[in-house]
Amino acid sequence: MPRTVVLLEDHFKAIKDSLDLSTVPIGDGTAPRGPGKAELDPPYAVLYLIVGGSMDGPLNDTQADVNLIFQITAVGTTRQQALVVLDITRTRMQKEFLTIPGRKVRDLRLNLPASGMIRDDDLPNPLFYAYDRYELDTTPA
Amino acid sequence: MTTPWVSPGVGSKRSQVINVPDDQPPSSILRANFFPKKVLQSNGAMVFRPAGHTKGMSMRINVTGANVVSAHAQAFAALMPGAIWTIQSNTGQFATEAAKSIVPVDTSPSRDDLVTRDTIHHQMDFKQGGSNSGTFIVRVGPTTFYAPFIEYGLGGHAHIGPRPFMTDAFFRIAPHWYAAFVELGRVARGGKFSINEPLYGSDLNAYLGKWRKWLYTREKQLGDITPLGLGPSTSAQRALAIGTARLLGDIQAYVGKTVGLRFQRRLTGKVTGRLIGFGSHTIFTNVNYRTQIAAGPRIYNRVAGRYVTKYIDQNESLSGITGG
Repeated sequence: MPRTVVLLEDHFKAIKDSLDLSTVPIGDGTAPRGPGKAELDPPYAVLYLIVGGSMDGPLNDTQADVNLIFQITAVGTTRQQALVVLDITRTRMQKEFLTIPGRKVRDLRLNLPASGMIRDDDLPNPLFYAYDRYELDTTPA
Repeated sequence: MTTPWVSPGVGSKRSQVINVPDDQPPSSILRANFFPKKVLQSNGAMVFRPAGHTKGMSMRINVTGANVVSAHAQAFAALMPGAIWTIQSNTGQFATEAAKSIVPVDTSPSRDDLVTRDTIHHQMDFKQGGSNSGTFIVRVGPTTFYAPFIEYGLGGHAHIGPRPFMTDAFFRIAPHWYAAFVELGRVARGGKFSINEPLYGSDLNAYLGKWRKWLYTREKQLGDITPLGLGPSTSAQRALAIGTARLLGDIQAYVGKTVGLRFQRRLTGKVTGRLIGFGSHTIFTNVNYRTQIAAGPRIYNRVAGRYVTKYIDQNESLSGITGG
């Protein structure tokens, strides 16, 4: 019996689709781009898939259940702007908003209540970053 | 919610049952705080703290509902110099090694100044949080200003995504760290412990806390002398009750400042004598616990120990709780 193949793209897309319904631009692993393919100026958020997580399942299919880790980086020109962007993304990070083909979403949760903020001065105009990391648990439907 | 507390009998008066509100349930809470910090220097540049300081990535265990360094937490306090520091030190080392094994390293000759294993350090700390809580802290982190950008990425700029190493190290080590504290609490409690219970003899803390509350309750009820069968000079008794309760609090605060001192004292045997105006009692105790402080505990023992051991003798057995 073949092991379950968990499609990471389906998981990523489900979260991205939920975030796209928010009021801030969401970048797909990079800064979001406008219609002209130029990078947008902040505020915006970027969605990443993070290395790690875990998997489990019955003995004959220990890859069936997965725990994946995603990061949302909110970018703003001010501290407040970055946090507001992050808060907006939080409203869309609910398991009820996710639809993953062939999978059932068990849980979507923050793995830390807050991951802090950074000011980046290595740019001509300083930016503020705020972060959230989520754990997404899914199992075969 | 209240728990019945049996007040000592006085003379011909039988003991009274007084309902005393329970203390706030104690708990041990694992908290994590990753907070890379930049500080503004006088020249206007934003930099991280100087090398030698671990950055703001820390793991914390917060113990509440127990004064972890007070004479009340006898067994736990006695274990502190040994077991606690060993746990903290090992946790720091293990977390450091875990982070070092994960952190990205550029070995090219021109980039040997990137975040490397050598820049990750650990520190231990303890913070007293009021009279009834304390936080054990292990800080692990790199000392380079660009470390957070490796951990979290650059928000879409320069296409540098997150390459976490500190969070991974934390989630590898923290469960074992927490389990070590749970096990320590289990040992301190003589074999019975679970999460959200006091990290020391719960019987001891429970009635000590209730005893303090009882004293405050007595202070209020001494307006009505019937429960204690006392004479008309209640003002002195009220002052004594208040003073005793406050003394316990003062001792807690005093002891709380002496983090790191060894506590060693032994209270055993037979105590007889006139108690604080409440009559004389003969008390036997089989409680052994250790604490060692110059002045405060002797006062504490003289005042508190009699009630404590009286209650032990009448109601509970602490034979399973000993100093470490």
